Amino acid sequence: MSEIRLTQITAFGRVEAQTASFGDVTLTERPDLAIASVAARHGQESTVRSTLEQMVGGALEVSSFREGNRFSAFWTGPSQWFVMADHDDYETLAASLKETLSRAASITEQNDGWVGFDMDGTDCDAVLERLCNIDLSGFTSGRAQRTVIEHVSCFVLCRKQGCAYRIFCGRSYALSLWHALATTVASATAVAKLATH
Amino acid sequence: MLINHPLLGPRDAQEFTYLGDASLLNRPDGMAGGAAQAFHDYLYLRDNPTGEHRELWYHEQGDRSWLIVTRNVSTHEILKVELASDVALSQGAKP
Amino acid sequence: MSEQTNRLSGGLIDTSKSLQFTFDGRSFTGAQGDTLASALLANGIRLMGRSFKYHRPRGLISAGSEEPNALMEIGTGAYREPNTRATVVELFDGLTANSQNAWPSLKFDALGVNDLASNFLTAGFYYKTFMWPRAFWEKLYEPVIRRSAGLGSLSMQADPDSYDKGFLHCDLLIIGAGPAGLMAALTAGRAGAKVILADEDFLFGGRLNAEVEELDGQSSADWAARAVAELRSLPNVRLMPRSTVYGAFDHGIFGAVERVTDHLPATAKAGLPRQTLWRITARQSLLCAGATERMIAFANNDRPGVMLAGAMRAYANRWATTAGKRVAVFTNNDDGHRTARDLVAKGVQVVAVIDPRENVRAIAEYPLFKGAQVVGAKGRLGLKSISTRLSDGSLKSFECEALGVSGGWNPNVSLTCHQRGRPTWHDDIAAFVPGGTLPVGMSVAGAANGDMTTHSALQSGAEGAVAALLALGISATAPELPRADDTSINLQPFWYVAEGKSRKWIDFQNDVTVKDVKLAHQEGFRSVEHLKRYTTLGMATDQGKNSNLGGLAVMAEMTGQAISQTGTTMFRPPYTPVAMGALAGRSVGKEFKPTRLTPSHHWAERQGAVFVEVGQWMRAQWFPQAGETHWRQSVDREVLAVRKSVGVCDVSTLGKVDVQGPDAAEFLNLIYANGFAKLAVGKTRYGLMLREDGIAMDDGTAARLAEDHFVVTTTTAKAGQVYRQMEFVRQCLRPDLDVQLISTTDAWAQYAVAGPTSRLLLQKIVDPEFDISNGGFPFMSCAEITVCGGLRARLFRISFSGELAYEIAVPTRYGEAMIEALMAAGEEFGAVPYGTEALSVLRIEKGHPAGNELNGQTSPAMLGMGRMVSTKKDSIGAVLTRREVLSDPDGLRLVGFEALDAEKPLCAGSHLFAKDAIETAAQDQGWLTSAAYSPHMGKPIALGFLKRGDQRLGEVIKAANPLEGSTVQVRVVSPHFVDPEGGRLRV
Repeated sequence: MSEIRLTQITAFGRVEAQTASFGDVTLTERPDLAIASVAARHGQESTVRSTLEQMVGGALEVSSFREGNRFSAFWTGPSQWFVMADHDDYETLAASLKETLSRAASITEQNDGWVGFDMDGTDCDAVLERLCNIDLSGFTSGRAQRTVIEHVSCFVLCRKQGCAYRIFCGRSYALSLWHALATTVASATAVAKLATH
Repeated sequence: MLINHPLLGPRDAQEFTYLGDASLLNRPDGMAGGAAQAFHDYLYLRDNPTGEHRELWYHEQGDRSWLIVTRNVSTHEILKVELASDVALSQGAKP
Repeated sequence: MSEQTNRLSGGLIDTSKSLQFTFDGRSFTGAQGDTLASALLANGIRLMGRSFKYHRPRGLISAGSEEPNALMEIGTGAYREPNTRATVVELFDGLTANSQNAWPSLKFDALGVNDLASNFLTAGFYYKTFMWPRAFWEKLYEPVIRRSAGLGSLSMQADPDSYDKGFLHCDLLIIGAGPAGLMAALTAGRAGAKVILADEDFLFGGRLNAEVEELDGQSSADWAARAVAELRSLPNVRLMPRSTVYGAFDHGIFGAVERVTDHLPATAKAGLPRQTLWRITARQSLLCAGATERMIAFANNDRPGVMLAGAMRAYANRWATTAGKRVAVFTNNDDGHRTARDLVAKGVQVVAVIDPRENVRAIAEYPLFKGAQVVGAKGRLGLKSISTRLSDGSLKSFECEALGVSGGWNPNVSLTCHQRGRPTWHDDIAAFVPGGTLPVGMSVAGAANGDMTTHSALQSGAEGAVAALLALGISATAPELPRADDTSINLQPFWYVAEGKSRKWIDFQNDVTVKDVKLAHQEGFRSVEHLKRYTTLGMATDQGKNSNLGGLAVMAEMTGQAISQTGTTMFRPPYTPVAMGALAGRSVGKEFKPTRLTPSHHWAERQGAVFVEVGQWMRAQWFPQAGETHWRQSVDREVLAVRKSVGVCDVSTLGKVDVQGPDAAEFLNLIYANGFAKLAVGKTRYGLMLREDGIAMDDGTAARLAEDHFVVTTTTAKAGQVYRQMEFVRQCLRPDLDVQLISTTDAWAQYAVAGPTSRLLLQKIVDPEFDISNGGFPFMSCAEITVCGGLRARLFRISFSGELAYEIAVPTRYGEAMIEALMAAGEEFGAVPYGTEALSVLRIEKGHPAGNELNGQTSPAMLGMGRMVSTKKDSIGAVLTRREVLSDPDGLRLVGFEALDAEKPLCAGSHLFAKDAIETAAQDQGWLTSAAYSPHMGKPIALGFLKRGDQRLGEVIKAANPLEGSTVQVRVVSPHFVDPEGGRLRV
């Protein structure tokens, strides 16, 4: 038996999550999420979807994002979803889902394929409109959209319209996306201050 | 341009990658007789119409769907957008 | 400090807030609300620039963004921005402005001698003069032209400002906040629609701020301010002052630049972007861009002090300033008379209003000369007098410092032309109005549409908004319109004064005169497009907003056609120049493109690794050790360590695609040229992927983890392209196959552990229940295992180096700990980390093709893999790769090369020739693709494509590198320098 035990680090090479605040907007890295991608196999779309809907306690139609008690999930493409849970409790989320869904779906571990960032504040839209081409007026709570931010492919989830969003990018892009997020939050905050000045 | 994605609604063309003529769906059978000629025609012979054109776009920064976009290449008016997989299935993709 | 000698009373400025600024080193004072142009006028400055070609002294002619003359350099040092229009620069405390295109000074410009040579600098001057000798172009003509012509100069330093960008969406974008735009915004805003109202000015209201008019009994400026206040209270309306909508693109997408801090002193800009570039997606748009006044050409009509009458009025009414104490007006319509009236009211002496029309009367106390024309102007550095031909034929001179000219107004149609619009002629106003197919969703209101009175602008703005919203299914009602002026200006077209020998200027920015247009006609350049390019009329940064119609009118006269038949040239984006920094936004410096970090990046940094950019990735190139002074020392050591014991390399950048589903094997059989259907679970296979045209696209491995689960790897560079191709095959060619794809590239930290002791090392890491002995886990095996006491991992026995080797993958968050564990476990074997350079040397020694060999020109036959292409199944590219030219047995073949002289390096890209052949393209027999010094062989080696290479092993040929003038002899050998039988892989 090996004597070595491997420890985890974040996408920034740290133990603690990356955070930053500008004005009343806070950015927080979410390394505590386990993620699995689920793609329904032929003829299994409704079976898979209803299983996932039960897990998150809500509908998971096109562009939906639902947060349940233990699990949350969002639509990523036709018959495809990402499912999330707490990493400490569900590190092998993909394996568990494979047991649950058996051969109805193709499931892939994405714990470290993507890294999530939460953006919270009273006017996050001023930030988000500088980052991505989403029509924010229709991007209500419970919506998910994949788009591009500063040439980085991202999923953007709306947790509370205007106030709480979660953005995922490929883990290897974390530093670049963080730079885009942080400079934009700083810039948008400064511009807002100028406007009220 | 805005491409009216059949599932997602209007999306900016910046999210898409362009491939070309939608006739690329009609790939010949590589094991059939005359395959060399058929593939030559499939790959190299294209109509280049002004006006309406059916073309393949990939929603790379979106849901990763391949779409068939019917577009007037003179005016950029988009007349129809379909999921390529729907079209391929309706054309009776290979068994 | 000079006095504001030409400051009038009133206006929309705050003289209690006095602002200091400098122009050409002199200090001046202006007021809050001034533009740089209005402040200079107030200080008695008329001379503001030198013209482009002739270096003629010029003053401002306009009060808006169309200004062709008063271009200045704003700011100092790295902040300096050339070619800035003084008319749109908002004055702030501490502003520094300098004139440009003049040396040694604005008043005495040495290159003003160009003006004396003007007979030689006429239309087509460049085409006629600089034709020969050809050799003179680069050395003589171009440097001289570049020095003498031109506008401002760049700071030649990096732009120190930051820029932002963003995306906006709305139901209705209203471009321009004059009477039409404000009325439209009120209409749509009250209806609850999502509205954006953008205007390039810092003060909304357009001409309402420049006129003495009443709307519902209030002053027009007050009405505008009240409208803006209401709009500001509506949450669904976004007001964007200082924002120029510069381009109309497909399907209702617009580009806009918002000048966030250009109007602030340096101390107030900290942490703020200078400008923000907005991409606005509008379901409908209403263009309310107003109209631009036009000049009448007459002899020396470019004297500083000659300006547009509407601008003169705007300076008086909005900015409380005048270009002179005594002014005159030259107008072919009633609008010019308003200028005279308003200036008289402000106490300025109006010495004459000269009007070529007969049927006209004065509307205030000023001398009116009907049926008269201005035929000359005196005062090189500033207008002193004008001479006028009166209706009785006599000549009369008027002393004045400024002349306001009105030739009528041109609807501002620019944005309507950005797609397929073709303006059409409108006789009533003698101007072009929007026509043809407008950009999708766009309509036009107000003066931009030819509705020239305030009343008609308000009305068409309201109606335009109602119609635009109706198209979106939003019902709106037009509000009751305020009572406003609705009188026509009774324009009588009059383009230029025939009398006078001196030049009559049409295009002030490009120095084009009436005579130039006539010359173009005489020389056969009669179509508007030819006229434009031959004379450069309208090709300056104002895009001919001031000059186009004047030139067209002269051409129409020469050809005996109507202007409507002559046609007009188009406008293109951008409406006004856009700073490169704004287009770049945040993507500057090292953020120009995203950077991807490998799982071991931070660890490698701590080891002192030298990094290299590979696409977006940063990869460790080599790991220098103490005492190593040259990269070759590091790389040779790393290579030899792998060959002798063991090395570890981060290979996580390779693309990884999870392929699952009952039909996964059949799917892989289609995308790979070689067969995959029979690959056993627990086995990995090399795969060659072709393009449909038979050219090699990418290579990699596919590992079968389960009956319905493969992990496909791609090269680092092609990961995106291969995934796209796989999705194309899945969705477009075989949607019937039950197969699912997803990228997992970032999810796994994957390390190559290579070298004779790699197994011994891994046995210390892999949990003991997994047998990785040669018998239990032979070459090309794969398995899902656990490591370090239960952590899930994947193990592949594959080799890029030719040694016994594995690739081991763990979830990325454990990646750094994994490489530390591998290095610790490997210490007893002398394990080293190795970088991309050693990786490359190792694979060249083994003869594995990589990007240099898979360069989009090479077929499987050329790579020596012709027989891998299965004939028993259909696969992408299989049919066409059998084409004669791609499978020619006498064609290029991948072989190895070794240098005869071990001291002479080989250079990739060198071309190959027979030993005694002359080095010409006709004798070319191939090229070297990859070259390296091989520490294993002790000499330089290379891979390359050589004609019939596989049949020429042992032959000595030469590799020529004409770029460096070197030719070296090489021996043709097998590409497998190391262990050609592959024994080491299988021990």
